[in-house]
Amino acid sequence: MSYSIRKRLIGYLLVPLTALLAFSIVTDYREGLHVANKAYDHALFGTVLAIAAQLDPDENGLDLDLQEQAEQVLRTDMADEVFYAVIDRHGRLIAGDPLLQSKLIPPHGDNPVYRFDHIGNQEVRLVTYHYRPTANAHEGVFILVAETTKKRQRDASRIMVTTLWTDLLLILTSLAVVFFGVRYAVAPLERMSQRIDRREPDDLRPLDEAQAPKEIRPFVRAINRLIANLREAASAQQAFLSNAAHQLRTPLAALQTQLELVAETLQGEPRERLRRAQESLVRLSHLTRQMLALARAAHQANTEADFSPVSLEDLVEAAASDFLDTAIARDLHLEFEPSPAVVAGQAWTLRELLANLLDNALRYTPAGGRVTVRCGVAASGIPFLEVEDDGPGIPPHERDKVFERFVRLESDSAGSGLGLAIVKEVADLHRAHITLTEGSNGKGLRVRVEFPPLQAALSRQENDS
Amino acid sequence: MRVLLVEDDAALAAGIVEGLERAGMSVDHLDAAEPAESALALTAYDLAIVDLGLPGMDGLELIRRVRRRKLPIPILILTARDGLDDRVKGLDIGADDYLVKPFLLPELQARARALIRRGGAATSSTLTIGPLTLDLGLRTASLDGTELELTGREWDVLQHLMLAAPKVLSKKKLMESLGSWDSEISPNAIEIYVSRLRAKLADSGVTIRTVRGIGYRLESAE
Repeated sequence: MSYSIRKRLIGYLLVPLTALLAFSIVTDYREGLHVANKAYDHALFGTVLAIAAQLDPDENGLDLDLQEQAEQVLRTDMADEVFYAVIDRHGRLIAGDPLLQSKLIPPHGDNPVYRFDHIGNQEVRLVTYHYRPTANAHEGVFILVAETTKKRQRDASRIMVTTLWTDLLLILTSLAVVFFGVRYAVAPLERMSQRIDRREPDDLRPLDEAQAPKEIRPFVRAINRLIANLREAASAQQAFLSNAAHQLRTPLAALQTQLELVAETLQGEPRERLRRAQESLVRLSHLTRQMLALARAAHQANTEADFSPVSLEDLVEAAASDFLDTAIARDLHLEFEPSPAVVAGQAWTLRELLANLLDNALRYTPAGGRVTVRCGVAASGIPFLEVEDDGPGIPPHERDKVFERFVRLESDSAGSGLGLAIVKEVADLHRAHITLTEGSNGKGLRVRVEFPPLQAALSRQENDS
Repeated sequence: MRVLLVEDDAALAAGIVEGLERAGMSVDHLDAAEPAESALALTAYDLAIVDLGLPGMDGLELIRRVRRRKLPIPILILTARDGLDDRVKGLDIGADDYLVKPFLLPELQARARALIRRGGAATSSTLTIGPLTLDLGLRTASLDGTELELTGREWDVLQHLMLAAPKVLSKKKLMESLGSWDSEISPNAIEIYVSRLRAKLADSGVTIRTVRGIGYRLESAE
C-alpha cells in the first residue's frame, strides 16, 4: 500500500488542530457570554440598589416610596422590559409587580443571587437581594428585579459571530502554515529522489549522505549499502568473466591450432569440410572475444574509469597493422587519414571500439570496395574518430536499432550483432557521441565518434572523483 | 632457430610446437614457469613464448626474473585476458610482443619469426627476411647471396622496414628515426627512397606495400 508522507503529516497535524480549534470556539463563546452576563448583572444590581435607596422604614418595617417618575426611569431600558418587586420576610408584596411574588427564593450564602427564570413565556434574568438597612431591623426585605434577555441574546450572537470569525481565520491560517510547512519540510526528500531519478541506469556511485537531511540519512545509508552490494556483485561478475575468458580462450586456441595443422595434411572433400569447420571456429572465437569485451566494457561503466590521455592517431596506426591482412584477404582498399588527436580515455576499450568499427566495415563492404579510417580534431575543437565504407550502408530507419545487442539487419548474414553494441558501450563510457550517416559519395556508411575535448574531459573526471 | 614454449595447456602446446616446427624452428616445451627459468638461463634460445596464466609462478613473474638476469632473449606473451592492463604490464617488464588467444597459427608464426629476426639483429648483427639479408655491422645488403647496391639512406629505410615487419611502419616514425638535428627528411624524400628500393627488390619475392595515410610494410613470400 502506498501513502504520501506529506498527506500523512498534514492529516496528523490537521485533525488535532481542528479539534483544538473547535474546542476553543466553544470555550471562547462561553467565556465571552460569561463576561457579558456579569456586566449586565452588575447593571441589574444597580437597579436593585436604586430601589433600596428609596425604601423608608415605617412601623411595619420598610415601605417603598417611589415616585411614578422614578419608577419610569427604573423600568426604562433600551431593549428589555424590567420588572421589580419588594417583598417582606413574610412573603407579602410591599411594592412592585405581583408577577414576581412567586419567584422569591430567599438567598442563602451569596447575596445577591442571579438566575434565569421565566415570566409568562419570556425568559428573564432575575436578581434577588436580601436588603437589611440596619442591624436591628427586622430581617429586612427582599428586592427582586428581573429583565428580559433580549440584549443578552443579542450580545451572545455577536460574541458567537466574532469568535467564529477569528477562530475560522486561525484555522485557515494554520491550514496554510501546515500545508506549506510540510511542503517545505519534504522538499529535500523530493530533491533526493529527483537526483536518484536522473541517474544513468548503470551509475553505481553511492549517494552523497551529506546532502540528505538528518532524518532520511538512515534511508540513504540503506540505499548506499544496496548500491555497494550491487557493485560487489558487479566485481564478482567481473572476476567470473576474467576467469571465463581464460577458460574459454585456451581451448579455442588449441582447437584452432590443431585444425590448422590437420588442414595442411588434407586434400579434396575432407579439406573442404575442415575449412567450413574452421570458419565456424573463427566466428565462435570472434563472438567469444566480442561478448567478453562487451561484458567488460559494460562493467567499466560502473566503476570510476581510470582515464588517461590516449592518442587516436596511435590507435589508428596500430589498427593499420592489425587489419591490413584482413583487408588484403577480402580485396578491399584500406586507407587512413590520421591527424593528431588526443582524448581522455581508456586505451584498450577505445581499441575495441575501433576494432569493431573496422571489423564491421571490412565485413560488409563487397570486394573491390574502399574503407577509410580517419581521426583528428574538428574545427570546433572536438576530437573524432571515423570509419567510412562504400558498402551497402544502413537505411536511416534502421540506424537506431543497430546499437542494440544481437540485432542483425535483414541484409546481414555474417555478423554477430554485437560489434556496434560494443562501440556504443565504449562511446558511452567516454561520453562520446556516435552518428551514422551515408558515406561521402552518398553510398555506404560513415560512423563518426565525437569525443569531449581533452581539457573538458580531464577536468570533468576530477570533478567526479 | 631454437624456441622455448611455456604453456600449461597440453593440446594448445602440442599444436604450437608442431606449427612452429613446420615453420622450421625447433621447439622445447615446458608446462610451468619454474623449470623454464633455469632452462632459459642454461640454453641460448632465440625466442621464448610464455603463457601468462601458468600454474604456480605466473608468466609475468617469469619474464620479470628473466629480465632481472639480463637475458637478451626476445619474449612473446600469450594471454587469454584482453585488458590492456595485462598487455602493458607484460611489455613494461620486458616482453617484446603479445598475442591474445585464440590466434591463428600463421599469425603466431609471423610474430615469432619477426621477434627472432630482431633478436638475431641484436646478437649476430644480421637481419633476414626471405632471400633478403642485411649485415648491420658492414651496412651491406644481399639478395640470395648477391650483393645489393644501396645508398646509405636506402639502406637505413630498408633496415627500419625489416625491423618493423610484419607490422606497418608509419612514415612519421620513419622520418623521426632518419632525421637528425641538422637534416630533416621530407615525406617526398621517403617516397623517393621507397620507390628506388622497390625497383631494386623487383622480382625478389620481397615487396614494399604502401598503406595509404600511414606508411609502408615490408612483405615476403616466404
